Amino acid sequence: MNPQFLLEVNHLKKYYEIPQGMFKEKIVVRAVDDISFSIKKGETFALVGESGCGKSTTGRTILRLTEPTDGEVRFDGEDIRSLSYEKMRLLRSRMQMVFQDPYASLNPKKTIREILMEPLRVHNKYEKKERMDKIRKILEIVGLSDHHLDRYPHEFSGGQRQRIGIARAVVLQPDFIIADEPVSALDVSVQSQVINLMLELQKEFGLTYLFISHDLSVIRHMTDRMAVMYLGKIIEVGNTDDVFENPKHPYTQALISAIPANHPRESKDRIVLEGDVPSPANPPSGCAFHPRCPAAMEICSRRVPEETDFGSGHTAKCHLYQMNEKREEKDEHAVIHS
Amino acid sequence: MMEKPLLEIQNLHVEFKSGKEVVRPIRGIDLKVNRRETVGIVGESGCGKSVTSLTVMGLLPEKTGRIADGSILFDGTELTALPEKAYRKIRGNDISMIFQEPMTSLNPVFTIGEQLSEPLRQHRKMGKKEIRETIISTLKQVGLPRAEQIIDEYPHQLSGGMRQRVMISLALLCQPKLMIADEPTTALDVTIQAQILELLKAIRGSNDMSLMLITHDLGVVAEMCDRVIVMYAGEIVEEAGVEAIFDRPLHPYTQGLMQSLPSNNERKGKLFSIKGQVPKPSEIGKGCAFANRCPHAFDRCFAEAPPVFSEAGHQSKCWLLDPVSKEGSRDESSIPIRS
Amino acid sequence: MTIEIPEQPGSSRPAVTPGKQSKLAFLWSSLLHSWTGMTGFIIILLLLFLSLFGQWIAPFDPMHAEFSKKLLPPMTDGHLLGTDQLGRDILSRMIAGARISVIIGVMTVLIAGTFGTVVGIVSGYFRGWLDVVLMRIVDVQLSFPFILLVLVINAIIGTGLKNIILSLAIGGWVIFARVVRSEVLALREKEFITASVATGVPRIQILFKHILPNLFTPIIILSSLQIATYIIAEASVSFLGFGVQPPNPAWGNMLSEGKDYIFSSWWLITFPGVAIMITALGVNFFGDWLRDTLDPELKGE
Repeated sequence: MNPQFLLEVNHLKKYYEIPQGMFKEKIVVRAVDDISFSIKKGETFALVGESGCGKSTTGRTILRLTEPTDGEVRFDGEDIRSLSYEKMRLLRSRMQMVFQDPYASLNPKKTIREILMEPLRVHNKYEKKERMDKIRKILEIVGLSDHHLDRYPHEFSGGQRQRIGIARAVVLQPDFIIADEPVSALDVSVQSQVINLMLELQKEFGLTYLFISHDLSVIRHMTDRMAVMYLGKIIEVGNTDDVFENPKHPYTQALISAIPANHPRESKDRIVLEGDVPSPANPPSGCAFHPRCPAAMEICSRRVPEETDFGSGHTAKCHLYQMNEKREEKDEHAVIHS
Repeated sequence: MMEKPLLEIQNLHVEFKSGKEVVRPIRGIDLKVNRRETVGIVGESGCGKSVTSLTVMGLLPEKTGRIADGSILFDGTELTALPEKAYRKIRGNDISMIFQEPMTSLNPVFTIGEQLSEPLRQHRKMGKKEIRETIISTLKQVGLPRAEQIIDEYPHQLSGGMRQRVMISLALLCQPKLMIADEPTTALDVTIQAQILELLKAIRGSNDMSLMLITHDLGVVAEMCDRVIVMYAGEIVEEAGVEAIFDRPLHPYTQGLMQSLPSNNERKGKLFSIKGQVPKPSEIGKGCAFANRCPHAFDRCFAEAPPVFSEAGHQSKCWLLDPVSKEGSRDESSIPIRS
Repeated sequence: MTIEIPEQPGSSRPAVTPGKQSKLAFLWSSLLHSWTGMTGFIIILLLLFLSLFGQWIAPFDPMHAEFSKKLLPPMTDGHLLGTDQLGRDILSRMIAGARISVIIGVMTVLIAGTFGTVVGIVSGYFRGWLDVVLMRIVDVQLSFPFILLVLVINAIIGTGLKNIILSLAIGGWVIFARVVRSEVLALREKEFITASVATGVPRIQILFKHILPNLFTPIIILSSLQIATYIIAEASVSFLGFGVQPPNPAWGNMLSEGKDYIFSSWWLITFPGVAIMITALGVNFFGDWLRDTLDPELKGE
């Protein structure tokens, strides 16, 4: 166990079974299919991918909001899959979540006071008198004020609600926050306010973030390392800078090239992928990306590619790079035999 | 001689009644769409960009919404006074629309073919066979594989990207003169968004058609549009050619929007952000609607709404551009944008 | 630390619905705008008034028989709505009947609603085998005609006011169980419930603090609509000779007793019949208005 890692995910799997009637075989959806990654203390780690790639399910499975099918999740060295419901519940004071839809994730019948008080109450933090001070302080930090306390969520704008959602997550001063598309539902000008808030909070409280998003420009701006997911699998991991400057996997290359231009004169050599993301219930054989891959080879439909290491933690799973290794291997053999 | 614009909106005011309150989502806008031109309307939610498109389509909610003032001239026809029956001949025929949600804009109980034949039956006298052929060729035009099979399939059998292609083919069927696309890629995944944008570019090139693209995404605007209109709180605050607006945005709101894009900021640094939030329609006073969030606002901005200042086709509603009240503050206001 | 606090243009404005007080005000103003809701509301008020103060308003003793005055037509001898076959004042009997109808409607809803809600919550929230068993019981019972079931239960446990309430409740709880269960199932999947799990709220608190308050509105709406069903059912059962027994003046058995005189003395069954109709209509109007008013708000929040 490496002490610098706050969260370690090993071979995590989440399969959903969809019964198809009495005599038919169940359909198994592999939402998350054997993924591993680790997050260092204090860093922001991004999970990127398109809808249905399993990035949100990964987040929820780590927090055990849905139970994993298999695999290991270690938080601060502790295997949280083996924890009882009550132990897990207590651990949640250290790992929190911010949701995409700030409207749906706040109980419409509760005032802001009640929403922010609840985490403190259920984890029995601070003396009762202190709690109110704590809430006031958090509200001020996220840019709201005292007189919002007795309002209901529907009285706030989208950006303000997301501030409330973030306040709820940080009021317990957790170590780790999973943010699932926290700015996707927001307007451009509000989005930048919320991103700034998250960055400031990270500095202030030393937070570690798992940042789930499909928005590559936001990811480039605020994350340290990133993992790209496609159909339940991680296909590329690396420092955000490395991945953006030198994407290895053809899918990552296509994703990055799909970012809209910044300026009308900026000419983009865009890789436009053919077709749609296949259903995770029936993923293609071999490398799941091969039917859409512009560089697909014969081997791609037959064999799942192994991981290739490009140094400084940058890895990708693609036969393009495997081929080179294989050839070298063969050459070595040839030398030995001759 | 200049060709007459295809669509010309003048001094349009739209009102919504909700209970006793009257909300004014559009407060006096003027805009033009020329033939074969792509115009982008940019703004954040609630700025009135979608209401503008609904008004042009004649789809304002009947009981609550109404055009309070102004004119909409489309290809020589005044649309504001048009009876519903005449409107139906234009809608889907001369003007068509693509919506944001490809999931909900198709009726789940009809096949793709049944839904696509509707406008043809309405507007064209065609036999069954001819209708089918037209639909299949349009489906092929939007890049749908297996068009002959898809025509008999139901919406749920198609993916999100394919449904948006079906919606685009629906809008193309009658070869409209104007296509309005309301956030056509917002609900789509990144790689699918790239596909749809390429498709829209191709269609625009091959059809004799104007495109009004409504979006909040400046990147989409940069790639697609000839001219850009920026809306804020029911007004047009800036209008210019696409290069001019990205090179030198004049209105502080446009400047703020561009500066707050993560790609225009230093990595990990603090993003530029426009403080505060869009005012509710009831909170707009007599001054400039953006004044309470504007970093350059001065007394006059709160007292008096700015008129349109125009300079070589680049128009903006901002007192900073007033030659009289300028006093050198202009240079401060136009912050160069990294390109 | 320096995080800019954005100006909140909305904050200086009075809140739209800051609390319970203005919610009532909102309901009231909505009621004023709906003629059906208002009609229903007035009918319900009238019913409540009659059932509380009826004994002082009624012009005659509803049980007092006077054979010399039997089958008097309306507007004779001070009998506004005439008298029945035993010479009892019909208006007074109807006022007394209103009380019985209200008692039956309200008591049945309380019992059936409470029981059905508990079953629905247990089923929907804890799922598992218990849910399967409970819902199969509900299915079986729902496949039985409601009135027939009430009659059978009534025949087994006996007649009388208490027993008719009990049999109506036994017949009626399944609707509550069904509706509440489906509401709970929908609520369970709501993101704010997931959010409270993620916060670390204990399961039992999620149930009581987050799910129950959100069930309040659908239960209120369903209850108001069910009351009308129960009042009609009671009338039907009493008409068939079960339920409230004569000489007690329930509208149903007034109908039953009057049916033999339908051709000679129309007023015996017309007035109780109209009373049943108006009551059911009024309660339904009110329930419909309540649903229309509260439901969109639920979705809008």
